[in-house]
Amino acid sequence: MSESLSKEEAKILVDKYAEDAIRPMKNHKGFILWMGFLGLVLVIFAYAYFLQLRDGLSVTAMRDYVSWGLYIANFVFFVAASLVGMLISAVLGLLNQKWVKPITRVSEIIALGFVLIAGLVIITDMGRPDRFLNLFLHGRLQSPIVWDVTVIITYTAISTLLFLLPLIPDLAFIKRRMKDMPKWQYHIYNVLSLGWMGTAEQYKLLHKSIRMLSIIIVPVALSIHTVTSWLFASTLRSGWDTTIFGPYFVAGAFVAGAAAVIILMFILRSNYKLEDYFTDHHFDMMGRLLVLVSLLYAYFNINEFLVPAYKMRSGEAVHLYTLFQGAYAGLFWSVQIIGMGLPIIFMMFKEWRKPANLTFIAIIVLIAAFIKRIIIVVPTLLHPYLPIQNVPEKFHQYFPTWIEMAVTAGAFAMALIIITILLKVFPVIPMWELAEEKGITEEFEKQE
Amino acid sequence: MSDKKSKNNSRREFLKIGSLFGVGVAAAGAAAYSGFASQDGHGTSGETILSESEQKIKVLTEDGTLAEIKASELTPIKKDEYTDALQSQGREGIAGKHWAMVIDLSRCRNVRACMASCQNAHHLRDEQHHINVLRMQDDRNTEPYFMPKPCFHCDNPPCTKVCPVDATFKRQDGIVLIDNERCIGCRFCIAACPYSARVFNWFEPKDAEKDEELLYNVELNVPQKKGTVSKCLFSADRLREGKLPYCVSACPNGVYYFGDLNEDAVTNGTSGETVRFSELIRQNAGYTLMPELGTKPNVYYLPPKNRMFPFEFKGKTTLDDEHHG
Amino acid sequence: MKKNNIITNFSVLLILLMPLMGWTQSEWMVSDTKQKEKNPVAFSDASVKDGKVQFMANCKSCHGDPGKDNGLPLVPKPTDLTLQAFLDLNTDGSIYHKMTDGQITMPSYKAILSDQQRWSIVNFLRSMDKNHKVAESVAASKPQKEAPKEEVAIAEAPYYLSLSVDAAKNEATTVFQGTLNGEKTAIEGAEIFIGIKRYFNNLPVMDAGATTNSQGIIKTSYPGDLLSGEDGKAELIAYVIDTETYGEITAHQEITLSPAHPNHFKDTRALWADRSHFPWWLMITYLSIVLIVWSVMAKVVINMLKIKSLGK
Repeated sequence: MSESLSKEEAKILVDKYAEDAIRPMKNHKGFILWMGFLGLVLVIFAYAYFLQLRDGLSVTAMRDYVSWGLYIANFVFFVAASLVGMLISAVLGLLNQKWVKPITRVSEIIALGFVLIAGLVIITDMGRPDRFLNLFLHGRLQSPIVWDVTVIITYTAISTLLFLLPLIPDLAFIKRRMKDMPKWQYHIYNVLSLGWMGTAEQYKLLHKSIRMLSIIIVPVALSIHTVTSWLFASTLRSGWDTTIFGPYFVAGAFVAGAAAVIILMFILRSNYKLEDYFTDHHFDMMGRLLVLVSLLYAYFNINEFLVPAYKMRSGEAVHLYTLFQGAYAGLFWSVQIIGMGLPIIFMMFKEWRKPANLTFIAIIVLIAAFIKRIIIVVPTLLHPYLPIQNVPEKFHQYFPTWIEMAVTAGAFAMALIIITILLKVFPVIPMWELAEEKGITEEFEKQE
Repeated sequence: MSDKKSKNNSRREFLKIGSLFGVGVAAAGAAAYSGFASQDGHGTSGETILSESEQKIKVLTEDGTLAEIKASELTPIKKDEYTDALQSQGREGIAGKHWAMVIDLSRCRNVRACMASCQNAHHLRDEQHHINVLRMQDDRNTEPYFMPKPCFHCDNPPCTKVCPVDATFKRQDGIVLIDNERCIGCRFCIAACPYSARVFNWFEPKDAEKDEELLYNVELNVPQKKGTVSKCLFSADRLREGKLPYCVSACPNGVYYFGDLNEDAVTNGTSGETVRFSELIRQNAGYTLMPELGTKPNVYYLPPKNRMFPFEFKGKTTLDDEHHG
Repeated sequence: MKKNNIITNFSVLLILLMPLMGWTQSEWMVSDTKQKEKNPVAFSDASVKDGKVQFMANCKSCHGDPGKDNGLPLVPKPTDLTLQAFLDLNTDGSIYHKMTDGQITMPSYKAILSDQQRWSIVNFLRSMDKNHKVAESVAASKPQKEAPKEEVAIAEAPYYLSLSVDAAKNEATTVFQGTLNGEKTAIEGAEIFIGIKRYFNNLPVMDAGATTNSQGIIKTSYPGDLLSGEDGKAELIAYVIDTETYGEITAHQEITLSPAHPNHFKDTRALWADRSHFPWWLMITYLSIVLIVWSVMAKVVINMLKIKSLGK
C-alpha cells in the first residue's frame, strides 16, 4: 500500500483518525431520543416480565404441546447474531482479508451486545428463573443445556477479550487526543489501555494475543451455535431430528450476522460521516460475503428440506406439509423466497451492493432470519408423533401473546442499548490497525 | 373394588395430616412417615396432639404397620428430615423391581376412569393428563381404536438425558420421576419426549392453596408447583404400599395389567388376576409403541383385536386430524 | 377448585351413565325365538368346569364372585348371575344371547368366547340353580358314585393342608386332610388354589377348578423357568377356596425358580443416568475442551498484564 507516506501526510491522517473516531462519541444528535425510546421499551418489558413472574408462563401462548415458542426462537436468533464477531474478525482476519479491518470492531460490538443478552433471553423462558443457580449446583454434564451454558459463558468471555484487546492502543490514543471528556471516561480509558506505550514489544505481545484469540474463538463460536442447534437436534421429533442442524444453524447465523453488520455500518456511516472507513467498497465486499453465506445457507436448506421431502416419511411428511402448504406455508415461502432466494439473486448485481440498497436487503434478510427461527421451533412442536387430543383448542396452535412480544422487544432493546453505549464510549474505528496498514504506526504512537 | 375411591381419599388424607407433623416413633423401631389423626377428632393440628400426653396416637410406620403409642412418646421429625427421607426413598426406588404395564387395547372403551382417578390423585388440572386416552387410527383402511397413553418409563429415556439439573431421573426400579423441587422449568424434557407424555404447570396448580402445607412427595408429585414439569409416575407411592397404580385399579374394563418384570408377572387391575407377563405378551402379540425410536418403553400394548366394544366415538380420530392431510 | 373437580367428575360419570339410566327402567328383553333356543352343550361336569373357568376369566371382573353379590359398583349394578331370581327369569337362550350381543356396558362376547364356551357358562350358572331340572337329573343319575364322597365329607376340623415340592420336576403336591374319628382322613373334591406369590397377587399354577382326588391330593407342576428376583427364590402358596366350609387354611413352601437378571439402572453409566453416573468419556472430553479454551484465555490475560508491566 502507501508505504511512502510523508511525515506530514501521516500526521494529517492520524489527526483525521482522531477526529473521525472521536466524532461519534461527541455527537449526541438523537442519542437521547434513541435511548429514551429504548428505555421506554425496557419499561414495557419490565412490566410484561413482572406479569410473567407473577402469573407464571401461563401469560404466554405456550402450552403443553408448543412448549417452546418465541423466547426460544429469540434465543436462537441472539446466539446467531452474535456469531458474526467470529466470522468477520477471526476467520476473515486469519485469512488476511485486509478490507475487513475497519469493520472488525463493529462486528465485535454486535457480537458482544447479542451474546450478553442471549443468556438473559434464555432466563425469560424458564418456568422457575428463581432456580437458575440449580444449573450450577446440580448441573448435569449430559445435558446440551449445560453445554450451552458453558459455551455461552466461554464465548462471552472470549468476545469480551477480543473486543478489549484490540482497543488497547486506540484507547491510549484517544486518551491523549480527546479533550474535555468527563473524568469517568478518562478513567475507563486509563484502566483499559493498560499503560500502553506503543513499544515494539507491546505490539508483539498484542499481535500474538489477538492471533491466539482469533484462533480459539473459531471452534468456540462454531460450538456455541452448534450446541444451540443440538437443543433441537438431540430430540426425536420430526423436523428437528436431523444430523445437519449444526452446520445449518451456523450458516444461518452467518447470514443473520452479516446482515446485522451491514445495517450497523450504514447507520454509523450516515450518522457520523464515516464514509472514509465504511466505503462503498466495504459494502460491496459485505454484499459479496452475504451472497456467499446465503448460498451456503441455501445449500443447507435444500438438504434440510429436499431430502426428507423426497421420502415423505410419515412424521416428516406431516411436518413438511405444514411448512409447504399448511398453516406455516405463507411464512415459510416468504422467508425462503423473499428472505433468501431473491436477496441472493439481487445481490449478484453490483447495483444492489451499493450501501443503501444493500442495507435494504440486509434488513429484509435479518427479519427473515428472525422469522426462520420461529419456523424452526414452532411447527415441529405442533406435530408430535401422537395426536394432540383431550386438551383445549388453544393447545393446537401458537401465536405469541403481547407479553411474549414485549419481553422479546425488551431483549432487543437491551442488546441495542449495550451496542449503543459501546459505540458511544469506545472508538468504532480500529485506528491502530489502519495506521499499521498504512505504515504510520510511529506517527500514531507519537506521544505528545 | 368398591372401596378403591375411598382408599384414594384416605391416602390423601394421610399425606395431608402427615405434612402437619411428621412424627418419629422410637417404640415402633422405625421412623414413622405419617402421623395419623387420633380417633376423638383432635387430629387437625399437630400441637394439640403433642400437648395432650395421655392420648394414644395411631401412627403408620415405614413398613406399613399401624401402631398405637402414647402421645407423650412421640418425637416430631423436623420437616426437613421428613422431606429428605421422602426425597431419598423417592430417588432410590424399590430395590429389585422392574415395573411394567400392559395395556389391552381390545378392552378399552374410552371410559376414562383412569384419567379421572389419575388427575384426582395428582391434583392435576382438567387439561393436564398423565395418562391420556387417545383415539387412534393407523390407516384409512384400518379400524380406529382407543389407546390409553401413560408415560412409557423408557429404559433409554430421551427426557432424563436432556435434563440439565437432574430434576427428572430414572430410578433403580425403572420408574422415571420428576422432582419439582429441583426443576427449573426449561421444558427441554417436554421437547425431548416423543410420546408427549409430559405436562407443564403453566398456571398456578389446581389445588395450590389447599396443598400449601403439604410436604412434597416426589413419588406422588404433590403438591404440584407452578413453573415445573409434571408427568406420569406409575403411582410410585402406591407401589411402595403394594397397591396397583391409580389408573390401573380405576379401570372397570380390565384394560390394564401391571407388575414386575423381574417376577415375570402382571396383575390385572380390574379382576385382580395375575398372569405371566411373557405369556400374555407372546400369546397376544404384545408390542411397544414406536420401537424404532430406541426408547425401550416399559409399557406394552396388546393389539385391539377381538374388540369387546365397537368404536363409538363421534369426533375426530387421528386420520381426520388436519395434519394427516 | 375442589368443587370444580367434583363437578367434572360427576359430569363425566353422568355422560357415561346417561344411556344406561334409561335402560334400567325397562328390562333387557331378548326376542322369543332367542329365548327358546336350547342349550346344545350337554350339562356335564366337564362343561360346568369349563364354564366356571370362562366365568372367572371373563365375567367375574364385573359380576363378582358367584353368590357373593360383589360385582363392580356400576349403575346399573351388574347382577350376581347366580341369584335364583335371575336364573328363574332367564332361559338358557336368553342368558346365551345376552352374552353374545351385549348391551351398552355389557360388552359382546361373540368375538371373545366361542359358542361352546358361552353355552358352558350357561351350564355353569345352571349348576347353581336350585330349580334346574337337568342338574338334578345328572345328580340323580350317579348317586352310586357320589355315595363314597358323602362319607368322606364328614371329615371335620382340624383340617390339614400340606404342600411339598419335587424341585427336580417342578412339581408340587398338595394334600388336604380332615379329621374323622380322631384320625387324619383325606378330603376329596375340595377346590384348592395353588399359586406362586407375586408382588400384587398370586400367580395361579393349578388348573382352574382343580379339586383334590380321593387321597386328598392335587398334583400340579409349576413353571420352573418363571423369573423370580435376583436369587430366584419364591413362595408357593396353597389355600382352600371354600373358606365357608373349611375356614382359612393355607400352606406355604419356599421354592427356587429362575433368577432374573435385573437392569441396574441406578449404576449404569449412560447419557440418561444421573449426574454422578455420567460417562467418563464425556467427562474427559468436556473438561479438556473447557480447560484448553480457558487456558488460552488465561494466557491472553497474562499477556495483557505483561503489556501493562511493559508500559511502566
